[in-house]
Amino acid sequence: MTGMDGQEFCQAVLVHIPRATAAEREAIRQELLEHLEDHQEALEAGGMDEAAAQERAVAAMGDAGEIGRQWNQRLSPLWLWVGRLCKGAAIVLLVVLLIRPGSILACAADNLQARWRDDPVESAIHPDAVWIKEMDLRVQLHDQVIRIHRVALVEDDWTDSQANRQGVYQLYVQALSYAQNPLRPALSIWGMCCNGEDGKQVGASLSPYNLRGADARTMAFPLEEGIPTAVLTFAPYGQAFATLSLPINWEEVSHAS
Amino acid sequence: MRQKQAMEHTSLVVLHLLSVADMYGYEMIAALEKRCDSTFTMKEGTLYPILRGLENSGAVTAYRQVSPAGRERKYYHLTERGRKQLAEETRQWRAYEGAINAVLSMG
Repeated sequence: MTGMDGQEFCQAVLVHIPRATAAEREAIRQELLEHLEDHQEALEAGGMDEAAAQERAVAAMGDAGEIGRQWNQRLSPLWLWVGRLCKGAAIVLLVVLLIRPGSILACAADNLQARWRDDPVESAIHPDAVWIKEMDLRVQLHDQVIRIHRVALVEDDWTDSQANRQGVYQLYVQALSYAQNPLRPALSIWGMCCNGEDGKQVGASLSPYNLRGADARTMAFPLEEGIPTAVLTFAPYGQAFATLSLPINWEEVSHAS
Repeated sequence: MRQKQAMEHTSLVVLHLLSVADMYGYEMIAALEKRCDSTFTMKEGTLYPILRGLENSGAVTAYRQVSPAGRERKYYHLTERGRKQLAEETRQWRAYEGAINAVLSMG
């Protein structure tokens, strides 16, 4: 005795028929159930009670696994492989969509890198820098965070020839922005000035408005020699939201010969 | 005591049953029981993979129709190719049967 009812028996058969399409599985189930119904009815007509007739009918079918395996051998594996290939293609497509530039996963990866990596922007800040300082200063602007991680001073060659502007340096600020929510893109909310002077952007690694998780930029500001602290003011949309003080150690500056 | 034999030539039997009339699965089992008086026994579920194989080879076709009992059932119909297969398998069976009888009749 199998102890299974008709539905359980059909399911036990179908488990062994992976090649069957959904429509074939339904047809197989229907045909087996009809057979069980006919047999059970014949047994009941012979005087057997319903439960015993049902059990006898299922038992007469034989081993569900063997039936399923025999059935499976007679089905073409084509649709099984078509189904597997479709599933594989769907998975590949999903992965590509998730990791492509601009996707949520790529955005989160950029964001986390900007948030936690010690050296989030590997490019050299300036080849002629006379003073470089690594730091990790962060300022929050709405849902975005701007992280300053490297500043440098560069002697301004152009001012050398201007008597009235001797001692002017360029303060290079390497920074990046990221959203507080790792799944949201970084917005270009740059609007920075230093000691009241508008900064000019000398290098931007990304587009002004991007959909990635981090926006890295290097900006340069003119800075008079000897000023102990550079005050960066973040004023996107023309309105100041935050300030950040950068101490400048002029004693460490190695003047170019 | 009557010895029950495992059925090794089920497809031949199925083809022969369908040569008489179109039938559905349980109807074939019932006809077999009635004609053979339980000389042959088979696990009833194994009939269906055999029918599927015959369908694949074009020996039978299937269609759904309401049975005399009033329920819709999947009927199987023997095709011309199936009739040729039945003739060939019958010939092979007769030859086999003749060879066995020849051996058994040896003194």
